[in-house]
Amino acid sequence: MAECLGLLARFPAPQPLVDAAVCAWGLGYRRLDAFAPFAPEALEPVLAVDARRVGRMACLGAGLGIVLALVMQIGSVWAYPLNIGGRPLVALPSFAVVTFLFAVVFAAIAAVLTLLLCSRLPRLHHPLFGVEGFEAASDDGFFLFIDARDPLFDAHQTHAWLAERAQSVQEVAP
Amino acid sequence: MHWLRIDHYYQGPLEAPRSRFQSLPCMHCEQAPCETGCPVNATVHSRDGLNQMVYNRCIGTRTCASYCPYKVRRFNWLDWSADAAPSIQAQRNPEVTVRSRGVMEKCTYCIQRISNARTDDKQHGDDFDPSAVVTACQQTCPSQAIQFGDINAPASAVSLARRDPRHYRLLEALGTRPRTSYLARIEEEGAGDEG
Amino acid sequence: MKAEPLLHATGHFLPKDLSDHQVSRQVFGPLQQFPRRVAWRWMFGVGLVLLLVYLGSVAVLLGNGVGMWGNNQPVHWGFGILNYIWWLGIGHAGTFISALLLLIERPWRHTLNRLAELMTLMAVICAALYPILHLGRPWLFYWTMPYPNEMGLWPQFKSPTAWDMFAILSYLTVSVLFLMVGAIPDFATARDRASTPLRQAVYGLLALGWRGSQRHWALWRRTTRVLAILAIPLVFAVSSGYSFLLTMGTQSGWHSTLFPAYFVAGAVALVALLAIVVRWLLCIQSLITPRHLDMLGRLLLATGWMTTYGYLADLFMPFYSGDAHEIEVLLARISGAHAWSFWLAIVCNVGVLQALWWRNVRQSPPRLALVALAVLMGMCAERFMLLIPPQMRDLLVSSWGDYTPSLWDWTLFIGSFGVFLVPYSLFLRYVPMVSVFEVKQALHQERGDG
Repeated sequence: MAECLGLLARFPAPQPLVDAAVCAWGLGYRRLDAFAPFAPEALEPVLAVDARRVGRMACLGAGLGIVLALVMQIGSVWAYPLNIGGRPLVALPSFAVVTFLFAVVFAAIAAVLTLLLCSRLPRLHHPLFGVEGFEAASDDGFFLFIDARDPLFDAHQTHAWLAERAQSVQEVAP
Repeated sequence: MHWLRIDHYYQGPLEAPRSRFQSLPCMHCEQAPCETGCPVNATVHSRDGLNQMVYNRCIGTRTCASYCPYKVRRFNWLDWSADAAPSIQAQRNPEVTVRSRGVMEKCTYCIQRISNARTDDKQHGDDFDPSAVVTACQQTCPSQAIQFGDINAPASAVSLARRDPRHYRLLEALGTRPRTSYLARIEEEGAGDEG
Repeated sequence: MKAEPLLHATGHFLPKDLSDHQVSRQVFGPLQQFPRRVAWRWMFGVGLVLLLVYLGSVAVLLGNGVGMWGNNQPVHWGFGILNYIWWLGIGHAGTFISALLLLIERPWRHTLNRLAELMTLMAVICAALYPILHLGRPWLFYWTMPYPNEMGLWPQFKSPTAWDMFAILSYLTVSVLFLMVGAIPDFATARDRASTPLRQAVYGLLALGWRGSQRHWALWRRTTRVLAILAIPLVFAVSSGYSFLLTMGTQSGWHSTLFPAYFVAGAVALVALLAIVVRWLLCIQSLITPRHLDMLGRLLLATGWMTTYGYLADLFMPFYSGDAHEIEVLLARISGAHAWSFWLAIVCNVGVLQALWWRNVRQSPPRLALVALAVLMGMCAERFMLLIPPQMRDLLVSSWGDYTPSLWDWTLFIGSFGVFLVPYSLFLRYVPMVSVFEVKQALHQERGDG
């Protein structure tokens, strides 16, 4: 039993999963995760991490893009000043397009990187993939996972509690 | 490749039109639209105000030619000189680099002559005198209708000509401020040439 | 009477009781057992032939120079730039439909977004090849990029041509990110349903180890929203980028401020066409229903009227400005040597389009496809009309000239459909063409159990 990483309970539909997750949260379980082919939004306040950081990182990325674009463009005319059609060397209206594009691209890359870093992806394998039937999590299976490291976790009681509600409960081997 | 285009205009009845012409080299605009179009700095202003064309920097986007309101730029659509022996190529272009395919070219105000004159003056320890430069078109023109000089020097012949009331610039309304400009011809009815 | 037509009074236009598993089966089934193999082979074969035509034209072009095209004094920009603008315009529709409908939360979007995003990607690639091929010395295209070099020379950032390079690269990057991030959960499903170890491995790599964790979903949802918010202004930045390419010049007739909006509008046509083809090829008529086509038809009609407004404004403006040369150019557009392009654009983009007022045209795949084809052709004529006649009527009468596209102009253009079709038909076989998980979510939300 010491080898067990946690318990994975399968539900037939999103609603029972949401009910069980909210209930478990209410009981004091904190190391919970749900797996579903899509994200039932009702779960977001209970389980989800603070996703607003994606937006914040995107803003930071946009800022970085603006600074980089301006440094690049102003730097280029500063390092190699050329008279182009009698226009001022630092012509900000002309630099606006590339600056905007840099802001957008860097924001997009920052958002995607945040997604990958915060969700610890990509990874080649995960113990959950070893659980029989878990592939349904991408089709029509709804799963609730309670981590063995949760202070309230008790192999028997948690198992029984889950079994009352779920279709099936399985142990996750590392 | 024309570097100096001669535009013909006809006036009057079809049977007996009056023929007019105007020679059009590069205008070397002070606010050159072509230069802003180039993504690779292949056409830029020199310190003395020439609109320079850097052949080996040109990648051939043809933005400059599209932006040029006078359409004085010419493009090497194909490789015109590939078949010629190197000696022939050099003979045709004794002082100018042979332009490869896909490169824009245009009138340079005979930059090689300007540069030779400047080098000569420097070797003799003199100050550079731009009015001593004679461009190829100026040299060939039998009626001496073409003048070249420094428009920054108020006493130069071109500056004097530019103060003439007959002086005009082509497509002035566009705000390109061309350096090449013209003197209107005065005759029974009108029309002229270049300063 | 046949069975009830596939019209459902639901937000997502799908049957209310469609189960998760059925949706998965319909979309992922074709990845293992493609339903219309013969038709697909034809599509792929035609694509391959066109691709060969393209490669041949490129070889001729690179071997001889842009002189192989019809361009000459004074028309420096011919088919190359025209097709570039056309393909980019096509591409905008995909981003626009996908991102805008995501932000305004239209659940019927979910069956259309994947095919539209893939279309954008391929269209942007087709477009991006043009400016490179169009160069006099195409092998030096990287000089427009900022890279460290021994001459210490940078691109000229005041040039719209340089902006274009950045615009295309940004558009490509964001389109790929939007597409890939949006498809991660579907690749995970494909991985879990894969029949062979190779497929499992490839889809597994594309899915990045996605396992549907609630935490991941929350981050994922935010990320796609952020990407959508970024994609919409990006579309307009890109279309403004290449409108600047025209506007920054001195050419009369190129100074319309309507161009950026113009080029985005009316591009829905290819999405409609592809939706019709894809639903038939994959036999997913129950997922892309006539109501979806109806919506695309309405969108096409609405954007078509925006284009019409553009035409009217462009007719009015020269006279309002009173500028003699602007009027000259306008007259050349509507009555000059290439007036056919103007009138073809009017007939296709204004005339034929009005058929979409009728529901039975919007909901009938063949009729909608015909209208969409007409609009695609009209868009091409429109680009011609905007680009070519102004160059033929230069400011100096002495520089007036004509333009006839050469054989190689045509082969390169026709061949570029091969560049589009070959990868797209492969996508049909190997990429889930419908955003399955989003459809499931929409289904559950509609039923109130999600």
